[in-house]
Amino acid sequence: MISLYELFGLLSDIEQPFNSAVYRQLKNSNPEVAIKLHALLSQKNTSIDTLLEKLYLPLVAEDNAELRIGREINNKYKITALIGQGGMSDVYQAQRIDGLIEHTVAVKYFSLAESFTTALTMIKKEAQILAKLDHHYIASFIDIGHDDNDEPNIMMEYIAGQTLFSYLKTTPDTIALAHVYSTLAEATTYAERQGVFHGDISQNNVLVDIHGNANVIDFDIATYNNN
Amino acid sequence: MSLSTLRKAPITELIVQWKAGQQSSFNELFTYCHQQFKHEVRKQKLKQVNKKKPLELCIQTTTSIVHDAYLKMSTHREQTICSRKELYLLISQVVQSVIYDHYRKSTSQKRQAPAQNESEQAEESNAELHAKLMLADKSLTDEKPRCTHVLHLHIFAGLSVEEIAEILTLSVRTIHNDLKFAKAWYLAELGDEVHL
Repeated sequence: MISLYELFGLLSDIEQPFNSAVYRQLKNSNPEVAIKLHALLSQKNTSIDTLLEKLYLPLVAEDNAELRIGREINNKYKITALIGQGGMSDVYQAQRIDGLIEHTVAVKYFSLAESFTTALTMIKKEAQILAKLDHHYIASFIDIGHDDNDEPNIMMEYIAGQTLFSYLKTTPDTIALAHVYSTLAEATTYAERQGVFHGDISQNNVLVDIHGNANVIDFDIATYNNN
Repeated sequence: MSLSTLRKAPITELIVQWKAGQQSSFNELFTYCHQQFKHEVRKQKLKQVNKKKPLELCIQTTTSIVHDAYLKMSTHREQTICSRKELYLLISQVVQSVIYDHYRKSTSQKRQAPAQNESEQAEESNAELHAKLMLADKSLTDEKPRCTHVLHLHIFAGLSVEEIAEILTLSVRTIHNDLKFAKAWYLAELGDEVHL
């Protein structure tokens, strides 16, 4: 018996395949195969891009950082806003909600990880590095937590301010700028003395706080050398 | 895995280990490929200067992973251990796993999330798509196994019709026919609207 592959090959180049003698004969002799062939021939002019879009677009659409807003962490904090996005991570502002004190923290997620387990490994690495640092111009580590979707995150000191990139656009005066750079140098020198190399200092990884001090954030790709 | 680790991922070694039967190397290739995908997509999104459609970006990323792996292998002793055909088939398997696993995980990981219509809808459609793709793979393999290989090399390893013909030592016309049949098969299984 002629296969579906061969039947499709025979009829797919015909303008009106369903009017052909071959198809009509098949419909009578083997209606089940005819139904399947009908479904296949109905797609003969659809571009392969339609299939590719079906396959790949959910992967792109899923990278939506806004979906984490509203989640609760350890029943103590609630994520209220997305405040920054990097190549590997998303950072949010979260408020304490247990009524004991008012407190705002920054919460970071490793969105690039393919699983929560990998994300936790990355979080532990950065948290361990941050835990070695105690400096007023470096955002301090608070805790590792899990939100109510069971996704791991790293909780850090919230710094009210703007990125150095945005700050430079405000055309600050020379004295203010010199202060930013001297506080930045203080922070990086301190970190290096502790054996921590940030590895990615950029205008988006430095926050300028409301007092005009630089604060180093995002130790995503930092390395630690205990020598 | 940090970004710096990701850049240094020993693709060649992992492929050689995979050839020697180590399942763990496939898992590492999988992690590498997955992060590479997400990283490229995110990088372009953040730059916001990308004129390419997300689809083109994904295909380009797949192609760059494949070519990077092949270029690294072609200058090393591993070339004799793993043929070009085997390498491309492996990469297409890795990329396929990345995509299918993504659908599967996005379903299971979001199951406990608070009611969010948007994510719940996405979750449902991902679960449905995953189930339909698995069925399409199986039924096409039962019907015409070669067509599944050809389609996977095209959509997951980013190979052109001519490249597939060369690798499988078949004519370009045969590959065209196989692709046309496989495409129609998958679209019919995925329940797409009819285009007469």
